[in-house]
Amino acid sequence: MAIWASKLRAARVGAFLLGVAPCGCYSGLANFPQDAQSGDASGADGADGADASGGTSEGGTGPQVDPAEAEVVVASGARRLTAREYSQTVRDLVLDETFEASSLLPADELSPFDNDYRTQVASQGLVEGAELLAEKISTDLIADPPRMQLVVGCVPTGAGDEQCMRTFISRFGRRVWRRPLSDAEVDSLLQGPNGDDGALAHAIEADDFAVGVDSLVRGFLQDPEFLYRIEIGTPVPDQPGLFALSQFEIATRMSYLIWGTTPDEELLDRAAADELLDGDSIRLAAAEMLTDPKALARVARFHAMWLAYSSLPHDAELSAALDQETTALIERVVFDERLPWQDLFAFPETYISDFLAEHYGLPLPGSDEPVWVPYGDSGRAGLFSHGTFLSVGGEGIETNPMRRGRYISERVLCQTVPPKPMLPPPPPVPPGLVCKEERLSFHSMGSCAGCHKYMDEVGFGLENYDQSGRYREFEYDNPMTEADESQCPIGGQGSLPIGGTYSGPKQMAEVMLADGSLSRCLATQLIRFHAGHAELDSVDLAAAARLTENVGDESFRFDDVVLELVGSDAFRFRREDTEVN
Amino acid sequence: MSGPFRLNRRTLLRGLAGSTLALPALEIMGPRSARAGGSAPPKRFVLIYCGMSLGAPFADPLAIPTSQGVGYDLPRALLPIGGGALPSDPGLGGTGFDVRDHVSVISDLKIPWGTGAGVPAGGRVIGQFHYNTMGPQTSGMRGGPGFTEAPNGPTADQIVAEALAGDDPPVFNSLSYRVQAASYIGSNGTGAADSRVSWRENDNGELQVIDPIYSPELAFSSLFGSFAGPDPAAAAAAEFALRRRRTVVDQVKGRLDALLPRLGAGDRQRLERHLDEVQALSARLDEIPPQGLGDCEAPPDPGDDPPVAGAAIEYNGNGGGGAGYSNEELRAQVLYDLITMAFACDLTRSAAVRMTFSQSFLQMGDLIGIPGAIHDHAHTSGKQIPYADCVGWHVKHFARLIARLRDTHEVDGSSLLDHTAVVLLFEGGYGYDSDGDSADNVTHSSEGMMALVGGHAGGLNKGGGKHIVASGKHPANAVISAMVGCGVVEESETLGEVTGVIPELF
Repeated sequence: MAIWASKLRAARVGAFLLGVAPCGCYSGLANFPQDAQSGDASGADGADGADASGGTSEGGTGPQVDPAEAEVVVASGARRLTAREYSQTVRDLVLDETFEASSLLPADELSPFDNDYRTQVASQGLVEGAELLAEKISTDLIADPPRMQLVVGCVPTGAGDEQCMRTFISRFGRRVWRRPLSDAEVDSLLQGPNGDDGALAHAIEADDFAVGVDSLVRGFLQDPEFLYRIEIGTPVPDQPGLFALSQFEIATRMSYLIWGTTPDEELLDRAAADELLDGDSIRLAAAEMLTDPKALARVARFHAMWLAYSSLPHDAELSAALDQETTALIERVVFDERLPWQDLFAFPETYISDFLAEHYGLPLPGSDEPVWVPYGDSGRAGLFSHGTFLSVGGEGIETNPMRRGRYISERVLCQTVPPKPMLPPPPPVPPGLVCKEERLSFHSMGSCAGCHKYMDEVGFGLENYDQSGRYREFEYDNPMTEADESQCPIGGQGSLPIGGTYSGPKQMAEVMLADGSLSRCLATQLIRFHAGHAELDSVDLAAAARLTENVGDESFRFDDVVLELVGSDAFRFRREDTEVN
Repeated sequence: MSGPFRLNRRTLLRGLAGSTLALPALEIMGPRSARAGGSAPPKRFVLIYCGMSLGAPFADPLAIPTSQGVGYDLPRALLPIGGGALPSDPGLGGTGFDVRDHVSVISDLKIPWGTGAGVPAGGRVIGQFHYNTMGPQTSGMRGGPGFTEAPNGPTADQIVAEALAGDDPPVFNSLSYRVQAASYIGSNGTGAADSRVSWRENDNGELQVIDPIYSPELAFSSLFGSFAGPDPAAAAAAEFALRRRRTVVDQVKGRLDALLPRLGAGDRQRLERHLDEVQALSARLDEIPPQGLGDCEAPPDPGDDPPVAGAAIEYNGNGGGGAGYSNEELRAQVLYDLITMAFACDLTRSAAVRMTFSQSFLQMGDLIGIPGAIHDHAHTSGKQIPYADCVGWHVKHFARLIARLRDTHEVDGSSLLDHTAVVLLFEGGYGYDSDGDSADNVTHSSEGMMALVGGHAGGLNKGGGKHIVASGKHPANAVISAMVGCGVVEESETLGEVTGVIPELF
C-alpha cells in the first residue's frame, strides 16, 4: 500500500483547511496581547536581552487569560524526548532516515503513553547514553560530506570559516532548540566556555571545518533544550503558577503532539512571524501539519499506545500484517475520507490479504496484497476486530478474560477499577470445572461482582476471538497445539461497566459509541498524551470534559478534536507542575 | 555521585603544559595506584535480582540441595556452580564454573505478606505477586500496593555504595545494569516500568530510582572508553578528543546552570538531577585511567549492541524471527566482565544487576535449548525441568561472575573474590500462593525462597560454601549478611525493617 501518495497531499491540504471551523469560544483572545508571546526559552545567559522567542517585547499588563480557560490549563513539566521522539527528531535534524536510538537511551515506561515526564528521572545512563549517541550521530554525519553539506547549509572557505560556522550554529541550533539563538549564544558555542576552546578553535586546530561541526553537533545533541522540552513562558498576572507560552513553545507543543518530532523550518517561521498568536492561526497551521505523513505515524502511534498494541507479541509476518491493517484503517477514516472518528470502530471493511484473511477465518479476497474487503455478517467491524487490539489480555496462547476486560475498562472506557481487597481465599474450584466460564462463574456473585464487572464480565464478550484475532468456538486448552481437547464451548457474552451487554467486537463498539463513553475516553486520553502525565488531576479531567463539551461525544472527526485542542486558549498556556519525581 | 579526586587529568594537563599525555608517567602519580603501597583492598558488593521463582507448579523445584552444610549436593538448577553444564544447555556458553567452595545456598526463606495495615515489617502486599517481592528483598522495607516495584527504602547496593565510598570514593558510586534488554510482554506490558533494581536516597531524604544501563556498548564506553592506547600518536589524538569532549560537557553544564534559576520548583529539581549527572560525567573526564592495580586492564570492546528484539507470546519459543530474545547470553557475559574489571580497577565498589524482568517473558530457546518463555515454564504443569534450567541459566551467570572474581587479582595478589560479596535473589520461591488461587505448591509464592551468597568479604563462606536451611528467615537476611561482610551495617545488622544475618554464613 502506498501510504500518503503524493497526489493525495494537495487534496488533503485543501480538505483540512476547509475543515477548520471558526473558533466559537475564545473570549480570551481579544484580551490576549502580543506580548504574551514574549516568554522566550532562550538565553542561558540572557545577557544581550535579545528576544529570541519571536514575540514582541513585553509591556503593559502582561498576558491575560479568560478565567474559564484558566481552569483547564493543564500542568506541564520538563519532558525528556522519548526514545521514539528522539529517533524521529534526529532523523529530521541530520537527514538520516535510518537512524534509531536503539538501547543507548533509557527505556520509556508505557502508562499507557511513553511520554510521562513524571516517570522520567535523569540518570548516568541518560547522560552518558546521550553523549555516546551524539558522538555516533555526529561521526556518521561528518563521514558523509554531501549530507553534512545539506545540514550545515553553507560551503566553508576553509577550516576557520567563522561566518559559515555562525550560519550553521544559527540554522541548526534553531531546529535543535526549537527557537532562535541569541547572538550571545552563537558566540558562546563558537568560542567555547573559555573563549578559546569552542568549535571554531577545534576546527582550526584540526585544520578541518568538519571537526568544528562535529563539536557543535555533539553539544547540541547533549543540550538540555534538546533532550527536554522545556517550557518557561511569561507569568500571567494574578494567576500564580500560570504562564503564557512563547510562540516557539507553542510550535514545539504542536509539533510533538501532531508529528512526534521537532518543528520544521516552516513552523518555526510561523512562530517568528507572529503567526501562532491566536487560536485561529494555530488551527490553520495545525491543519496543514495534519497533511504531513508524519501525522499519520503519530496518530497511529497514539492509538497503538492507548489501545495497548504498540508492541505485538506475534511473529514478525503476522505482526506486520496486523499493523498494516490497523494503520490502513486509521489512514482511510482519519486522513483519506475524513470520516467521523467513531467510524474507526464501526467500519464495515478491513484491509487484508489472503494471508490475514486465512488467519482470521474470513473469506479469502484472492490477493497476496492487502485489499479492502467487507466484513459482512461476520460479527466484526472496525478496529476492535483487529488482531492488534485483540492482542491485549493474553496469557500464554489463551486469552485471559479478566485481564482483557480490565484493559477495556481502564484503557478504552477510562473507568477506575477498584483495588483488590483483602478477602478470604475463594472456595476451591470444584473438580471437573475446566472451562473458564464455569471456573470463574463465582466472580459474578456476591461481593466479587463489584470489581469483576470491570474485568471478566467485560472480557467474556470477546472470548470468541483469540489474542491474535482469530475466531474460535472452543477454548484452547493445550498451549502448544491450540487444541480444544476439553471441548469448552465459548458463550461469548459480555457486559460493560457502563451498562449494556454485547457479544463480539462489533457489538462492543456499538454499545460504547451509543453511550458516548468511548468518545469521552478519547478526550481523556488525548489530554493525558498532550499533558505528558498519566495521573490526572481535577484540572486534567476538566480539560477533557471541556474538550468533549466542544466536540460532543457522538460524532466528530479526529482532526476536529486535535484542532479544538490546539486552538483553545488553554493550549497556549501552561500550569507549573509542582510534582517532583 | 563522584567525590573529589586527588589528582586529575586537568591538573596533569596543566602541569604538562600542553605536552602529549603520557600514561606511563602516571604510574607513580595516579590515585588508584597509591593503594599498591599497602592499604587493604576495598570491599565490593554485587546485588543480582532474577525475575522468576524457583519451581513450576505441583513439582518440587530442582533448585534446592537435599544435603546441608559444606559439600552440599547440586540439584539440576545449581549444576553450574559445581563445574557442570546445564543438561539442556545447547552449548552456547554453557560451561559450568566450579565455585561451590565460594557459594552458599540459603533455602527456605520467606517474605511474609498481608494487606493494608496488616502488612508485616519487611513484608509484601498481596495482590500483584510479580511486582511486590523485589522491594522487600532489596530494601528490607514492606512494599506498596499495586503494580509498582518501587521499594519504600534505598536498596542495599546503594547503601553499600555510600558506605564503601569513604574518603577515597571510586569514579562511579555504583553501577546499575540490566541484562534482559526489553520486557517482551508486548500488548500487556508497561515498557520499562518494571526494569529497575536500584533506588537511592537523595540529600533531601527522597527516594530516587536509578535507570539501569542495559546497553553493553554504553556500559563499556562509560567505564573504559577513556582508557587511552599505548602509542604516542593515539595518545595525542585522545587528548584532543578529550579536550573537545570536555568543552562540550562544560558547555552543557553552563547551559544547565543558567537555565535552572528560570525554572519552577518541579522542573528545577528534574534538571538539577540531570546537572548532577553531567557534573559526575565531567568529573570522570578528569579522572586518570588507573595503572598498576593488579589485573586491572580495559576489557575487549564489545562493539555494537545486539539488536533488541520485539515482543513474543510466551509459548512460541524463539519463533517469530527471534522475538523475545536479544542475545541475553552475550549481554550477561559482557556486563559481568565489565563489573569484574571495574572492581579490579577500583572504578566502583558496588553494583546491582537485574537479570530479568519480573514475570519474565525472556524466550529461553537459545539459552537452555528448550523453547518457551520463563513465565510460560513457570505456570505449566510438567515443566519442572525446563523451569529448573531457567533458574540454572541465572545461576550460571552468577557462577561465571564468581569465577571471574576468583581469577582476577588485586595489587597485593589476593583474589577479588576474597573482598567481595555477591547475592543472588529471586522473585519468588515455591509454596502457598496468597495472591491468586490460594493453592499450595505453586510458583506465585514467597515461601520456599532461595538466595545464593558468594565471595569471602568479611569472612563470608569461611570453610567453604554451605547449604543453609533458613527456616523462614527473610531473604533480606542474606542480603544483610553480605552487607556485613562488606563492613556495612555491622553494628545494626539491619536493612530497612529486617534485622539479622544468617550466622552460618560466617
